[in-house]
Amino acid sequence: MGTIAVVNHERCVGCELCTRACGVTHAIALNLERNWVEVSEELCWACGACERMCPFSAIMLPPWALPNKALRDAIYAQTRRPKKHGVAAMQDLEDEDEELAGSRLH
Amino acid sequence: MATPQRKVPTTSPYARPLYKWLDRLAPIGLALFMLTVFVDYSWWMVQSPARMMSWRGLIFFAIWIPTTLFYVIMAVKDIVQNWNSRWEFAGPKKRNPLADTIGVQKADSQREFFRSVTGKRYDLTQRPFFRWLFHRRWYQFAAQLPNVIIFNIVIIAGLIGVVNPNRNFATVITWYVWFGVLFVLMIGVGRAWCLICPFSAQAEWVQRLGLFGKGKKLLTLGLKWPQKYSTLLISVFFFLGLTWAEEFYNIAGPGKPAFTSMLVAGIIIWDLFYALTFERRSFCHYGCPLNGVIGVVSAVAPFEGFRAKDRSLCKTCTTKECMKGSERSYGCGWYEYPGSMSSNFYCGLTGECFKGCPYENIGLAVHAPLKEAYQPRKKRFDVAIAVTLMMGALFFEVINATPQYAAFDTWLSQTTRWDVVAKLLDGQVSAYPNPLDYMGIILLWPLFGWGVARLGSLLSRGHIAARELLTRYAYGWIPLFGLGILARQLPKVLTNGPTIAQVISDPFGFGWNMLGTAHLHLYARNFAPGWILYVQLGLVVVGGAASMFVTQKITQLDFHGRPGARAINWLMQGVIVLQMGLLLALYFYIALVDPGHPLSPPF
Ligand code: SF4
Ligand code: SF4
Ligand code: SF4
Ligand code: SF4
Repeated sequence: MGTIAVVNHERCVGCELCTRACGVTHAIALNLERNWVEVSEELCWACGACERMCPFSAIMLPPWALPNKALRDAIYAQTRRPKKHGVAAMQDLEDEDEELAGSRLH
Repeated sequence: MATPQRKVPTTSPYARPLYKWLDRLAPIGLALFMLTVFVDYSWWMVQSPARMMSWRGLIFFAIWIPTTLFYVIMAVKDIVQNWNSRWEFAGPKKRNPLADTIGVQKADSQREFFRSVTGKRYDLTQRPFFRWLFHRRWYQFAAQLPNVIIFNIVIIAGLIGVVNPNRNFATVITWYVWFGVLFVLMIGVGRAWCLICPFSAQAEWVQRLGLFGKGKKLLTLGLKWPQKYSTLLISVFFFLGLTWAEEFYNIAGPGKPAFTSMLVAGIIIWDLFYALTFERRSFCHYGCPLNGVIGVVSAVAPFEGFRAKDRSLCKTCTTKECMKGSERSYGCGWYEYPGSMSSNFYCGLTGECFKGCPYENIGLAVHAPLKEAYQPRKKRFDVAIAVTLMMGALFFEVINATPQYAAFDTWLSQTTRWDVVAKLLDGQVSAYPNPLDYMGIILLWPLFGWGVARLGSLLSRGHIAARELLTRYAYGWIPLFGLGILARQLPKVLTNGPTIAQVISDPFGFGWNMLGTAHLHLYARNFAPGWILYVQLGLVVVGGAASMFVTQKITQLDFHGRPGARAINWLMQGVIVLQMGLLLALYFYIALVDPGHPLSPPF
């Protein structure tokens, strides 16, 4: 259980500013039915970019959270070079271009 | 579904020197108005030296002078700073071409969430007048100022005025006029009261260090309201607490006007504390005792609130001036995003988004009443619980007028020794109302709602969760609650309201005659003859019918084709009819058993 950004469902209005802010690992996605965002536990590396971006402070990191750079690098490496660090599913994509592999991830 | 963007005029229809001067003179006029009221009151105060030389004069000037000074200094600052601001709009920015591709796609993927039920709607901002008005920075200020002055007088009147509540501005304005006007505004417009609310007006002026200008600095710690306590229920609990205190101290008359004054001053100070500690209007969301009631009853109103005209444009808008603020506007104080609003629950009608949006993508539409109750796909569980709790409070307010309740309450207070505590708290002689039966009666309604929802869940053979049924169908109770509570306030307003003619001329009961109406003996009873009961019953019937309509619509929209939907619909309709019948019977019974107040509930 990592420390990840937590969304306040009462307050989140689904403006997706945080989604844009979370550009490195793309951990945030809009729930289309509920119109609030959700944070993926595997992808959030607790950088706090979303918290700074949200105008309504509807997304917050716990105060003790520290950026998990190792996780970021791992995810980054995965999306950039699926050949070297790719998970099993990625192996199938070996021949395809990097962008596609990246978009698979989220 | 994305609404097609309407053509927006590129220039303001009012870009003429006349309007430039109007922009300058309107705030000056308002500041002068404030000063005039102050001078007028002071003059009358000086005329009665006996009062002025006592502690009354001290309190009078101790409240009037600093507040007036504060407002006037702020007003002068804003007027000077904005002397050359025109608040005119050069015309909307060019539409992002992505809005027609990606934006439309994205808005379309949420079609279910943004569902809009067919029906006519008319966008007020198409009228040049409203566009002009909503672009003024003084739009909200002009609406707030008179109210702020009135409530300052309320505070003063309660503290220094005569004890007779019917001759005191504080009691008459707050409980005989305001409480009626409040409900009429909610049912008619939505959060119109919040637009003119004097509590948050003053807090916000301090927070923004200005009355209507757009400043750069805020005077607040800007803390974030904790996530755990982000719920409407806080406001509802304050509402229940306030209602209890109001009954216990009989604030709404014939209690002491000083209680009213302390109540109003208390709310203002408390609001100020929130404004200085937390960001935006956290008080309105998580502190104001009225927030729940106003928000819920707004669903009846035919106003949509400010909302984006074209959601696909918002989907591609990255600047989000409506939320974040711009050179000319503050970001929405109410934590609302026009691009995703689906109900008017939290639209405080402040119009900041309208000023902020560079694409002129904000509209304020009028549509059929009740639509806000059934149309939104998003229905909130905490709102549902709030509705049931407030329904309980409404029933309590009606039940408490029956002799059976009085006997029971007295008995309970004696058995539980509450009467001793009540005496210490300086409450009513009969120790009414005992908090135990107060909470007990109110809690019956959420329990009842929950029970019905469980039953509904069984009818669907477990396919629909009870929680979902409660959440969605509780919105159907709203019209009955809104009109039922209006019916509750009506006799008080109609029977005592006319005393306002006297008190506006003689606010403190000192024998002044400021407007020449002090000797108009408009008596209450002349205005509230026998028909008042029938108006009450009529309101309840209309509320009940509206509730049944909303319930029907909810079934159609939210549960169409789900297992057991028809049976559940019958069940929920039955629940409405039952509550309506109970309310009708209670109103009728109260009128019958109380000979002192022919055909109207006692207060
Ligand atoms: S903390 Fe950083 S990684 Fe986590 S959701 Fe926010 S922006 Fe994304
Ligand atoms: S920025 Fe804030 S309000 Fe907007 S979607 Fe993200 S969490 Fe929700
Ligand atoms: S929510 Fe309460 S404090 Fe806020 S504007 Fe409305 S009435 Fe005033
Ligand atoms: S309403 Fe807000 S999000 Fe929509 S276009 Fe205007 S500024 Fe952008």
